[in-house]
Amino acid sequence: MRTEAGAGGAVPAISARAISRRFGRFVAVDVVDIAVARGEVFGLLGANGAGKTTTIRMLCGTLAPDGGSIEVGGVDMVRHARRARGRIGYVAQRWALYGDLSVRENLELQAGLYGLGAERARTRCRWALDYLELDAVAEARGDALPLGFQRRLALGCALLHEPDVLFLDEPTSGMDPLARQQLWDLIYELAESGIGILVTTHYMDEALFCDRLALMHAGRVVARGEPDALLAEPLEAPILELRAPRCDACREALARLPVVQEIVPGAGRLRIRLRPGTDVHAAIETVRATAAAHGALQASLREVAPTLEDVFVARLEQVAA
Amino acid sequence: MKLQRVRAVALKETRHLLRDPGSLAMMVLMPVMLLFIFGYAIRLDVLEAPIGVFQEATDGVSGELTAHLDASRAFRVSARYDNRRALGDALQAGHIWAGIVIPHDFARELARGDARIQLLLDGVDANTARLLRNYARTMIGEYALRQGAARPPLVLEERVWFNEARESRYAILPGVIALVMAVMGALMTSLTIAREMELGNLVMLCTTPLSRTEFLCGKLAPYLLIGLLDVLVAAFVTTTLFDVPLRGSLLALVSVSTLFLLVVLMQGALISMVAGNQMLASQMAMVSTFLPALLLSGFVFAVQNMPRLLEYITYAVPARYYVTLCKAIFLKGVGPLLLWTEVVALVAVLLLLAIATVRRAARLGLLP
Amino acid sequence: MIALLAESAIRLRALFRKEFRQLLRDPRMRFFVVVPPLIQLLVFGYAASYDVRRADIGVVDPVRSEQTRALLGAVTADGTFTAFAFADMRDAARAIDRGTVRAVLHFSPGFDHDQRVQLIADGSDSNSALMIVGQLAQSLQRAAGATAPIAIEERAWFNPNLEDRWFFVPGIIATVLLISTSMLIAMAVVREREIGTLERMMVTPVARIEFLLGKIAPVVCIGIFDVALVCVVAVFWFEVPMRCTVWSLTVATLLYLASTLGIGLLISSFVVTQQQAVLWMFFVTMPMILLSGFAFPIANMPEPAQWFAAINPLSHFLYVLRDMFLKGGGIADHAMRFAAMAALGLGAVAVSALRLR
Repeated sequence: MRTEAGAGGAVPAISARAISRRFGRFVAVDVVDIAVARGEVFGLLGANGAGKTTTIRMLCGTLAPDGGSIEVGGVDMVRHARRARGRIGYVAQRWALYGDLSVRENLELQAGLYGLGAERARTRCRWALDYLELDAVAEARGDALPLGFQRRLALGCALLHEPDVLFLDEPTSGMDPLARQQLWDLIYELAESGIGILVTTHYMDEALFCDRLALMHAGRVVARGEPDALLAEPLEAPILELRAPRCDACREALARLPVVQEIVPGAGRLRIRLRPGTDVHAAIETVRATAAAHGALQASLREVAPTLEDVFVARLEQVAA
Repeated sequence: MKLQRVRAVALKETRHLLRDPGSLAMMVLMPVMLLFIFGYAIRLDVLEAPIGVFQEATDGVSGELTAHLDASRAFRVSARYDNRRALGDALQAGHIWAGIVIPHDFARELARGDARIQLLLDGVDANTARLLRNYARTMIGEYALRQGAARPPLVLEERVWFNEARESRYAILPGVIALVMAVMGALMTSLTIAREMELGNLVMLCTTPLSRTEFLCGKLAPYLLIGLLDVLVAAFVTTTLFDVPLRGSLLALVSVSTLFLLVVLMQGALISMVAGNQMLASQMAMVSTFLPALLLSGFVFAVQNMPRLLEYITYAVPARYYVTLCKAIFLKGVGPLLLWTEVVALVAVLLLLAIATVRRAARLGLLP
Repeated sequence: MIALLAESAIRLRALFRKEFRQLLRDPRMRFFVVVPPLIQLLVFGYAASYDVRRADIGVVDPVRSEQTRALLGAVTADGTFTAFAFADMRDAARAIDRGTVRAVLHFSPGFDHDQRVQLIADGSDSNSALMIVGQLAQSLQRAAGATAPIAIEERAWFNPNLEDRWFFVPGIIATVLLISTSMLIAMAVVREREIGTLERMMVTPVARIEFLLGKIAPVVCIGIFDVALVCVVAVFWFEVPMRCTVWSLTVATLLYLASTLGIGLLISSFVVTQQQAVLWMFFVTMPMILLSGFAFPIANMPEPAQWFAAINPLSHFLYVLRDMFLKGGGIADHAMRFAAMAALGLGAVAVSALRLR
């Protein structure tokens, strides 16, 4: 059981207390607390416009919070900005390195920017090329690299100065499943070496890989905790799953049922989210009847455990209410 | 401020430049090209201008006047016409730039000391017309003297200092260097910073311990070097190829150029940050550096010839001071010490720009 | 066939909309498209003059007789020259060195007998120097009582008052068009390539020519708008006469636009980054402008420059424009030049369309 301070009660890699930020009259981030422990993989989820990006920019130090405080390894981000930035690594969502410089030259630039001495710079660049398997392309131009290599290079650049915390903004977007898996293996390795990692992602299955999660909506954190704990919470709205060879036809009819909140189609099945407070057994009967009436005869229908996505959708609906 | 970080940025910038040798070559060749154009092609004086003459009478005196005009460097009697309409048509069509009508009673009136001739000018190019008019007056005055007219009362000795040969080239070329510096400096730096903003590199830089002054210094350093190289190349071409004398010291030229370069580089950086993308930055740079450098710096059009309001505006144009300094160093052999007011003005502009630039850089998200 | 054209029209309309929006979305861009041409016109109109309107001159007068005072009074009478007294030539020389005076009148110590005056001009501004010396000489001689045995009755055709700006204003129209339109189109195309949206566009059914037309459309509109704006100000503010018809002006402008856009597109097809585009544009447009005759007459230029002028659309347009504004020429008078501009333009557009990948 981890405490908010992180594993072993040590100083968190990064902790943000009650930070907020507004742009004009629009409140982008509304009193948010986030703490990432050393060696922990923290997932930050939320739709575009939920305040994720603004939060990350504040955590990285590129945007000053209107209120609250941020500490990186105990160093205040605002008061000792330079030192704090020296402990952070950041991998942007889109390619933000230099396309006309080679892999090695990009690494050298980063080493220089972080003030690494000549000897240490050499060692660390060597390490990065090795650890991230970029040796073969060390002299290749940045814009000539395929996506996976570009991501690895960005990661290498972010790790050169041995940061306490690493920010990965949608690290696997656009990657194939195998490459995604490899990257997550890498993330776990890095976490084990003691770095605190904050990941943003849209993929729900990746959310499950994290040690802890926070879901943001309209500038606030609306759900927080370990994935298992979140999944274990009983939902107000039960979820049924209908499996049938041709269930598409009955979808519209089912959607019109008063007990049905939402239908999420899938391959060969329908996930049916019922309205909060519905009696499950009565609902099952109604749904089965309607499905049969519209051609889904050999339908298997049962209540299923909620996925993380369901949990979040429910939470968001709660907030909206 | 850590030198290592500045060096890292400057090294990166240099690598960008070296990866694009075409652009680098152009940056160095641009001044040469402009010097060639201004040195060889552009001439503000008038030589062998085609004029037409209509002598109403074919007597010796009228003929002598025509011959006198033809013999001058400024004019070339390209055609003689025997009626006014033909002369007019030729002027309309642009075959001749001026027409002279010598009346039939010219010889008799000249003997009485009261002669008249008519001078028709093609006014489309007002400057050339004016020059032709002045030459005509001088030539005709000379001719009158030769015919025994009274000497003018004053003995005037005309001297043109610094440019005895009265070559328009001498006057223009030192100013060309200023034009080049003004444009290249601002154009190049305005694009380079906007590029980082546009392509998203700034996002990454903002998460590093890089400070804004380190960033600016590192970005501008290579362009300062290129600019100085340009100055040296330009000075070399101007003095060796075009025989414009460098009567002042090279050191004075280099130090003054460095100061001006810093001003334009800073200008470019400011434009860059205000624009945020390359397209807008280029438009802003062209308008705010090229035009003032060309029109308001005294490089081609003398400042005092302008209406007062514009003259006051030129005080805000850094190129104006640099042009004055360049001309002084090249042609007059004096240095920045004598023209300390210009130097002070440039320093003042530099300080203002530097403050504005660093303050604007706060919006980039880099450390202070 | 009709169906294909109809489809194309729909795509074109969508493209036009997108390009217009993109180009003019930023209010600063809108500002820079409208205001600089006006400013250029105003500044050029007022600043560009070779005529000596004002000159500070230094005077070294060791004699200080009634005659010298009278002469000085006559020279400075109309306000063109403002005299500043200096104790001796050394001080006056310093003033010339510093540029605070443009000429010096030095009466000789024995002026009462020899009537000698030295006129010294600052040759670092040679065009004005000659004018100043000439004017001073004339004023002085006339004030001293010289008579001209041969009177010259002068008349300047097409521009009776020898207004410099009548010469320059057509030049401004032409250069403004060149700089803004060609730079805009080059940057617009290269920008897509640099940011990476070009690839995306090439995947859609948009044909290359449609893409180019989409880029060209807003720039053409901006160009015509700028020309109209500049012409209106030139005619009503500066009172430059416009002796031709609006129709012939429009035709000439459109043809010229074809060539400027062609140049912009041609350059955009050769470069990869916007920085390169700007450099190349500058490299190409500078000689075009300087050697076009907009401020420096072509006829004075050496042979190679004259040949360059033959293939320079700007010099053709300038000639036509001056002729139309000041001499009242029409389209028919310049058929050859029009044809040349059109050919250049179309050729350049074709090459760039082919090169577009």
